[in-house]
Amino acid sequence: MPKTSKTSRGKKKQIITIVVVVLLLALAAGAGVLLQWLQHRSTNGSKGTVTTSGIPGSNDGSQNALTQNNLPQSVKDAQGTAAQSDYDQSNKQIAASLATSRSNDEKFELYIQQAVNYENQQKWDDALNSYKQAESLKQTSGLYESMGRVAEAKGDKTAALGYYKKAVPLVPTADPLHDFYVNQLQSKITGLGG
Amino acid sequence: MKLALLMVAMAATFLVGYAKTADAWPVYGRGQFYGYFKNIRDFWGDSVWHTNGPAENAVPTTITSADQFITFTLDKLSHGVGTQDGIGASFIIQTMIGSARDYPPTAAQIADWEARVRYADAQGLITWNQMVSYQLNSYYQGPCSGYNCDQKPGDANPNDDAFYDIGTTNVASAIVFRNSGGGVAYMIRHLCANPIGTISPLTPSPTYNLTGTSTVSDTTVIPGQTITFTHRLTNSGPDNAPNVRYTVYDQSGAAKASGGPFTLGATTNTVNTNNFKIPAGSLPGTKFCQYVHFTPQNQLGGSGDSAQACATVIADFDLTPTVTPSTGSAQQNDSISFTYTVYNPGPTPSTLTTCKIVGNNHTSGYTPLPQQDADRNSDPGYTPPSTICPTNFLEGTTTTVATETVDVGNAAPGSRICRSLVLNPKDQNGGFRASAEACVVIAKTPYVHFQGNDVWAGGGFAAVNPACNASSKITTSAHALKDGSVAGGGVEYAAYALSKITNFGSAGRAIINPAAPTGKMLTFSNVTSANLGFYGAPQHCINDYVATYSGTPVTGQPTTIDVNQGTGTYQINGAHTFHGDVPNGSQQIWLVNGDVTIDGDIKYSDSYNSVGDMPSLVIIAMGNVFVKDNVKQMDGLFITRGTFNTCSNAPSGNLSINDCNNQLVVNGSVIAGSLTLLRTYGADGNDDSVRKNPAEIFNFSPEMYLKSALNGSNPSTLRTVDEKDLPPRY
Repeated sequence: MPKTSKTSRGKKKQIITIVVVVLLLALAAGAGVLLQWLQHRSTNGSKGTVTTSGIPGSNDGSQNALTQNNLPQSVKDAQGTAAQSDYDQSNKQIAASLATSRSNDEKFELYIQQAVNYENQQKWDDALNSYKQAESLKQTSGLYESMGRVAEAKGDKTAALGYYKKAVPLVPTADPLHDFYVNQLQSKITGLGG
Repeated sequence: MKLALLMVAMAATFLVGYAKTADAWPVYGRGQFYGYFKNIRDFWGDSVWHTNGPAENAVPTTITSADQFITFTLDKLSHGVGTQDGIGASFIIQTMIGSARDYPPTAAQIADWEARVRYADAQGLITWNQMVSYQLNSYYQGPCSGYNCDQKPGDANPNDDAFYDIGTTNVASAIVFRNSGGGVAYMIRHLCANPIGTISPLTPSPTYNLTGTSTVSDTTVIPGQTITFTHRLTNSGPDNAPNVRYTVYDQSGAAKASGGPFTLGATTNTVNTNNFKIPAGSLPGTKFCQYVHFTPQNQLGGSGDSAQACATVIADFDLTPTVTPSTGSAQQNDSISFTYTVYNPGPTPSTLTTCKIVGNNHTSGYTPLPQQDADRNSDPGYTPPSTICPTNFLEGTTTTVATETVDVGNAAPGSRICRSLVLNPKDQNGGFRASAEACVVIAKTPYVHFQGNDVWAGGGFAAVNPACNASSKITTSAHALKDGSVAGGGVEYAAYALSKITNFGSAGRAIINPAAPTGKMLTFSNVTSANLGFYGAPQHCINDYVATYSGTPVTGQPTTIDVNQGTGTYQINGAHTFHGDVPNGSQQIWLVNGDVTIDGDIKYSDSYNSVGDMPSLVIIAMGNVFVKDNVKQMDGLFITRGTFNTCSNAPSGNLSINDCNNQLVVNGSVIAGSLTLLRTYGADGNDDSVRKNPAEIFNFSPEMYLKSALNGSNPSTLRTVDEKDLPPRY
């Protein structure tokens, strides 16, 4: 009996352990889902839930935005100012953000917005310098494509060709428009004699 | 060890739970790579709108207005729900309004989208061509192929659009829509028409509708009146209307006032009031209007106008036609004129008014018509002058509508040439109005002629005025005839007066122009040196015939004395009447202490056998000598301290041609305190020669030289000729 009891107690303990482990694992998985949900909620904001039956209206159109646009807020602010064609003010905002930012990713996006502002002002050299500042932090196909575009605008076909060639291998393979972008870049390269 | 393994397992399950749900949270109800409409996962993409390569933009950069963008997008939508263009257009339309995924979009969704786009454009919230940076991208889900088909089981051709976060920043040319807060709301890349970056609904267009109302303080006005126009804008809401502007125009299109921009709440605002004074002379029926033009009309823009508020000038007038003749009377062959005027006391100008000039000739005794509210007609054959009518007669103004010159011609004296002016309408109620009839009486100015001697005026009788210095004057009438000659009173030889001589000719000529020598060559007056002046004596007493015969015994005589009797000298008391033929050789002197009336001709014989046969009649009246109208001839010397009246039985007042119309011829001489010449004979006829015929003729006959008053020859005998020497002496 004792043996039987000992064996029985061991099996019970084993079952309890398995149940606890399963519960813990389930709890861990649930925590992961919860975290994802909380992150989604925080990024989408708490301004309403999108449903298939429609989106609650708003007065200024700021609600229900596709907030997956992950540009830093400092860049979005500068972008908003630039959208009003106030490029000088936008650049001031960017300069202020660059001075305080400790994130290379944020600085990268700020330099790109700065370059975009210069492009809109057709200040090609300033735009290229800003893009080069971004390049020093990160190299992406989009960055090199922009540098090629500015070089073309300056009339520097050789430099443009080089930039476009650098862009091709950096097009993300996961991008659903990967082929489209690659074809675009190849067309530009071909057009420039590359 | 077991605990460590448990922790690892828990971490692993946590990560699995986190990762597996990473794409599960939807964007507009869909996770990344999941189609917007069908929720089908996909990793293959194309431009939202088809392009033919890098050289062609899916959205032309030439699109620079809401209308162009809407037209272009709706054209894509019209390609159909199963097309890439149609799917992309639906995708853009619905994401721009954040609507439900009704595929294709409903008419209401499209209307909402158009309103938001137009509103954004109107608010300056769209930049049509700008380089932007972005991370979020969208793409078209076309037919599956290869690996992609595994992602879209059961639907090889989803015809859908999807979002994805490319994870890196790209830069592209795009149309940028901002929301009313200033942030970026939506971006569409020119190259591929892909919505990129922050994709949020455009600011909903407010809903409002403006209407304009214009009113005027008085819709019926008169010149000089001040009226007030009021212009209001009403926003029927429910939202405020931004950037409202207005302009007030008048009926000619001239801008009177403007204002804005301002925000108009859901209410009625008076945006403008202005006073306007109706100009003087504004014709009845003239409209003075204003309206307000405003923008926008509603949330879609546009503009609107209020209905015109008008004030119409009414008719309120009362015309007075007047005919004014150049003279009240005229003589044959004269030129006369009539002036036709219309006075409008107002307060408004008249409506278009016609004028009719009516001409009528009337016989003697006619009474002109007064102003009447009736029509009149002219005599047959009358041709009226032209007028300025029809016309509008301005208020407070007298307007001359015509003038007319009329030649009197041979119109009979006593007749009347009459004119009327007939207006229609007379006032705002219409109808005729004839002026008071203006008539010119055809008159004549009878003349007196003295033949055979001079005429003397002045001095008088010493018994009446011992100084004999009366400032006697001679005044007769004269008239210029068409042939250039003058008809008038005059004397064959000289005319003397201690005072003025007016229109009385001398030297056998009539005179009408005092400045001309003709007719005054033997005129001597003491009041002017212009021509033979101051040659008259300062005083001159008439011979005192009365004193000479005052000693004659007073005898009784019938009151009516026929001078057909023999020689005799008589003094008789009281008024007596004389007539009859004086027999040859009869010498009669009558001193009448009273008035003398001549009621019939007194004639000498016109046949003498000797000087002694020549009769002589002297009638001296202490009173007046009254000659009745039937008397045509008086021969003799007639003396009166009073008046010698040639038509004593004339009616009172003005004489007509029917009165005293016999010519009176006095053969002899008349010495009188004053002459009253009333005969109306002559001065008319069918030619100018007969129009010079005098009414009275005083012939100093040869008998006057041959028979003195006392028939004596001694120096004390009173003479019938009174002389005065003038240089050169003769």
